[in-house]
Amino acid sequence: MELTFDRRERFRTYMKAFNPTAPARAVIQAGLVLEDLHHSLYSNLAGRADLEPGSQQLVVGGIGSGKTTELLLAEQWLRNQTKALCLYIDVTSETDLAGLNSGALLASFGVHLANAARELENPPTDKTKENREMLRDFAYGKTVRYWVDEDAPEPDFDDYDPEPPTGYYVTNRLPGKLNPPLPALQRDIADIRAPLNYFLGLIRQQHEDVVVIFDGLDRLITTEKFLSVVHQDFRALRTLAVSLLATAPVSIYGAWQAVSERFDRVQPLPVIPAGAENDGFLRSVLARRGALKLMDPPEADGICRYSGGVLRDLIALARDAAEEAYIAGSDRIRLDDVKKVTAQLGEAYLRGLGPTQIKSLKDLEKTKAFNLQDSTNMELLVTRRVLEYSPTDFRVHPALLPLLTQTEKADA
Amino acid sequence: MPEFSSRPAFEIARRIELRGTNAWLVVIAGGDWNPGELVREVRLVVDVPARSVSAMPFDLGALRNALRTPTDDVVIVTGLDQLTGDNWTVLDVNRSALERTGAVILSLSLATLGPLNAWAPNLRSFIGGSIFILTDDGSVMSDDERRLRLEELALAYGLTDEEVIRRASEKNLPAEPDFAEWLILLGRGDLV
Repeated sequence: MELTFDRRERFRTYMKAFNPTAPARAVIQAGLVLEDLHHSLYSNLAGRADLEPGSQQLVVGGIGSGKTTELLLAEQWLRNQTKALCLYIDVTSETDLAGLNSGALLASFGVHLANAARELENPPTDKTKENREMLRDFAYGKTVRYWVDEDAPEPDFDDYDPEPPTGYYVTNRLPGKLNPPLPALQRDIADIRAPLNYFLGLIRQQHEDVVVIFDGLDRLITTEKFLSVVHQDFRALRTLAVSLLATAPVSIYGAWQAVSERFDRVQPLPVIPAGAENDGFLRSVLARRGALKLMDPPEADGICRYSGGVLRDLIALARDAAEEAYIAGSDRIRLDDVKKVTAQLGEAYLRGLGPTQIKSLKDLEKTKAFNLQDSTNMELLVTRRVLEYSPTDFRVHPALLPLLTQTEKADA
Repeated sequence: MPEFSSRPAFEIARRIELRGTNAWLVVIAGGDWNPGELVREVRLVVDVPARSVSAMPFDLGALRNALRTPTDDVVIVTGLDQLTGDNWTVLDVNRSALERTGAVILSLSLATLGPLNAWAPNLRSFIGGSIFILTDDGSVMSDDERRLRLEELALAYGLTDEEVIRRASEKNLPAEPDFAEWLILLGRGDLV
């Protein structure tokens, strides 16, 4: 009898295509992304960034909705279609976002800009070295030595004074903007404009424009935190005529008008409903990754429906169903596998919900009304128990919904 | 209330092996659980180094360094039940700093799923439904589990136990983790 190693290989190949935590850049490079899923949003974002120097656009979406993928596609488009220099910065991989303050985004931008300018001057001029050092100090901090005068409140260094001043030197470390975590710093971020302008001048000798993409800012979950971090830095970037794309947290839905007024475009990235009209989109995502090699249309439909259109949940359910089938010794994914992993996902969403939150979810299901000014509702939206299909269409995550009914029965 | 799947350590190790890179999952284990059992099982089944790392005392930089040096082994993170809401928030907003090629297994109690959901939605999104209750006997399988697993392997590969032993003796068995597991379940770890 011939060994059936191909079963394991088939599943391993499938699992590689359905890895919900794989880096988005690798997934794009592997050709697993459907570029028109959000109606080619990335090309609209990139096109505007290119055409309107200094424009500022936000992509607003819940966790796992595909924001990073859209930004990376926009970066790719800008590199391929324009003469702009595009800097993609994943803020969260460079600094402790929990301690992020005004100036940190500019510092990060400056470091990337100075690195991009390295290729333009070899060897660098003294002026370039000086500006690079200013940026480095701003970003990472510097050590300063200063005199503490014991005689008077003001320093006294009169050359003709026969008495030497009494006092002592103190050496201190001034933290930079990217040191984790930071106290609020009062230094004026205008200090950094001169070196930024210098490097922008160098870059613009070769590139028509500069576009910066800040990813990861959606992790600043509340609107207040998000705005407090980005406000001054984004204003400075606008004066430098640097176009900007950034992610923003879904909580912005609760302050839509106030936020919209500050930016040239605030683009929602809603989840994709799995109704009859849109099943094709989600099914295409599965098909692109080769799902139909291991499952039939009814299983694919179940996965689409219970993912609620959250892309990461869609990929995770497809992966988990295959894992269940493999562990159980089956050659293909069965409806039972889909049911099992859907229940697991629903259970994961259910954990930690208190009576108030469960009541809000049941109210939403009953009335279809959802008040974004209610803090419980906002928490449910941020944690993906509630999904946004449009600014007026909110629904309970379909994997969680059946479990709410069960809690009702248990209560009775 | 419904419950998560209960799985023995060896099955969790098999899931990690099947998933390949960048895997994230949660195991629910009791407070006196020793991660050493799962570490051993992972080393055996996945055939990559595995270790446990404590998140306490909480220090993002230290945890990040522990996860990144190296980045390609399997790490079980313990001590998470002691995290405060603020600690979870710090981990959550800095999720990218925790990303690595090797698998990350978060060891929690059931009660800690609440804070994870409330304070760390970005981390939770990475975990999805991959939450498994580690069976009490850890790596020790019952006779029924052992028999079922052997039947699964026989079905999957179309081989009998005897054929596997014969091929292993003839050094004619592929170096796949499944076959190593098969031989160990048959009490022939000497042929691995």
